[in-house]
Amino acid sequence: MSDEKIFGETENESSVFEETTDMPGDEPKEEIISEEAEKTVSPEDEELAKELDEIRDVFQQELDKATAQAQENEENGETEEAEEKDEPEEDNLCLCCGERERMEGSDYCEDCHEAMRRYPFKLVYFLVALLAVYVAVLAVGKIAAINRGWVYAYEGDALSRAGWYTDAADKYQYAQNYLYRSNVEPKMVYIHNFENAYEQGGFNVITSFPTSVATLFEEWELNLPHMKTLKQYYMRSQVMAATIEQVNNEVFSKYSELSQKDLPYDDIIKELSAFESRMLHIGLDEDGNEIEEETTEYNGSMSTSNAVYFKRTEKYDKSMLQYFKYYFASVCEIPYEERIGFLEAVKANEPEMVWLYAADLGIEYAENGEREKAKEMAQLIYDKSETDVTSYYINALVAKNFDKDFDAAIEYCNDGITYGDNYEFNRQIALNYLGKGDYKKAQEYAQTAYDMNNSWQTVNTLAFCALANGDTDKYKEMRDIFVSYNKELEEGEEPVVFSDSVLTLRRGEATVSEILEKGGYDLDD
Amino acid sequence: MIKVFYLIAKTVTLPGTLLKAFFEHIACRLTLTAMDNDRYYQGNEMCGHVEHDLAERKGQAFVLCFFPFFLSCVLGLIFSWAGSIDIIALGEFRRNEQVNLMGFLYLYLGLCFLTNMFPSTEDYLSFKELFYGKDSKNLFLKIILAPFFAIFFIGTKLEKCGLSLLTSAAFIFFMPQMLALFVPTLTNLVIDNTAGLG
Repeated sequence: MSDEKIFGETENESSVFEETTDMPGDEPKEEIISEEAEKTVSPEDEELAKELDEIRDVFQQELDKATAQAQENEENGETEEAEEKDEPEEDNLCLCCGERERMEGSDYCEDCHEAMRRYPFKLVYFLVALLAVYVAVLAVGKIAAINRGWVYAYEGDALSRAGWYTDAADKYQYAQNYLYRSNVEPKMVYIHNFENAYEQGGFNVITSFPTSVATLFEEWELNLPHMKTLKQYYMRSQVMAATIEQVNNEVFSKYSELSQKDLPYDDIIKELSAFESRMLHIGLDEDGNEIEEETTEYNGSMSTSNAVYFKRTEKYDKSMLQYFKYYFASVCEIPYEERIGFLEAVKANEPEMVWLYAADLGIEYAENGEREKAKEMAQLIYDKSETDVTSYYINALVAKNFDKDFDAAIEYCNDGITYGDNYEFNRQIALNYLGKGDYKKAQEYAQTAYDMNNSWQTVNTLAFCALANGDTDKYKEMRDIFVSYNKELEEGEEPVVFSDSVLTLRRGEATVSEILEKGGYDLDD
Repeated sequence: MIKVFYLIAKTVTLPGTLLKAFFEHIACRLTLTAMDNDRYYQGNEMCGHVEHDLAERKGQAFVLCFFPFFLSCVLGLIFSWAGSIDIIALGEFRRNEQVNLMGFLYLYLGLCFLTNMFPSTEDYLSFKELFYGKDSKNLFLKIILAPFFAIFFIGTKLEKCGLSLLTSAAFIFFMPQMLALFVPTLTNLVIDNTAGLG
């Protein structure tokens, strides 16, 4: 292989190279070469030799540089090794700063670890915490504002559960008044108050119940789960109230002008029975169309007067109709066996409606020789409501009429007075003192009863006690009441006189005890 | 799955989650405990807690467990009291013809704080080790701290599964009945005494 090929050069290139390499410093070499060339070497070989020399020079320079660098490195060698030994491994660097070595058993160096003991807070969390404290202060204010009202409501709940409906109603009223001042609308208190009122019962409560509920609640609210009981009460009261209203419009109003004796009992019973087959429209007219409710603006908001929810067609309330039958039977003085049947039908159909049948049924039993049944009714009323005075009244009647235990009867009456002072309790106490033979005390209580309610019944009782006690002045005072009343009678009106009991005692035809025993320890009116 | 429930509970009760971690942060500063980071909300079991060194002293362990628990518990009870009485017991769902937002906010905040009041598992274990471990011989402390230990034990387990959300909700729902055990008596007592003073 030729040198040309080794260096990759052509002949032309060599010629060019020859021209450019003609430098002053090269003269001695040229001279030698020329001398040799003159003897043995060709011009091509000469050029090649030149190139080789240049290459050698370049290599030599590089070698010198490398040697110098190597010597320098050799001098610094010991220091670098020492530094390399001091540098920590990458795995052992502090996770935080990434520079220093970690402490033993930690991911951090000592400096970083110390700094992490005082890890800075972010301002935003301070602000959030302050906000939370501010809202907590507002919450404490809210607790202070509603706590008393809630305590009243809670006490109302406890009393209602125990059957003390009257006291519970008072507590609910306190709660509502208190919370109203705090601008709170306590729907749960309203609900419990309504439920308590319904449980307590009574004609006034039932007739006003649907309107009262509709004033405070919307129809959709009554469909909510926590208002299930109230919804049932509402719907039932709608039917009962509508039945009362219709009976009042169609029956009571028709015979209101007639006296007790002239009442057509059979016709009334037929009319009441006819209701049982008729349909009652609640919120609907006779054709089944919805009755439009009047919407009025009040204090800037629209309100619907007499709103009726759950519009539907239903049957009249059977229990209520039975009670009305009993009422008319009682007014018309229909025999006990017949009239008691109506009330017993109510009890059989709906035993839970104690307020509707138990009081009348208990008194009927007590006055008609059914001691055990009367006691049963008294207990039923007492279990439902300890504050219902009717249970004490029935028990007093039983103790007096059946057991002749006048002291027990007086105690029942005094218990009844505790829960509701009533002239009848005082009159009963007077009768019991008559039974005991203590006529002076009898007159005192008869006087109290008269002062509370000056009816013919109390006038007769007081006159009877005055006669028994030998107080003729009081007897004359009572007699004067009759006299002055009869003087003012218009033509056709029958004069009012003392009862047979009083007249019998006045005439001396029987003793006090004889009269009491004959009258079942009560005095006729 | 448990981790998912945990994170759901933490996310639903975010205000309580963040502030509980913040309270832990304060506890770390108070006890000079080194904290790894201040990521209060993170997608792991330390969500709602701060990562910090394990307690080495009893006082440190107590503060780390008790301080955040106490603050969250107090705030939670205040909000729950206000919310449960207002909304659940009295039924003040609306106020001035509007939804009673504040009442529902109290309920929600109560839920948030009560759900997140318990210490992290690590803090609970440190507490257990330092007060009830082999080296602990102070019987008095053991007895005094027993109720807290029980609360931390149950609470930590519940929180770990995300169940503290449900238990807190149930607690708030029945809170009026629980308050009824002593608040009416206390209120009447205060009123009677105030009337007596008047």
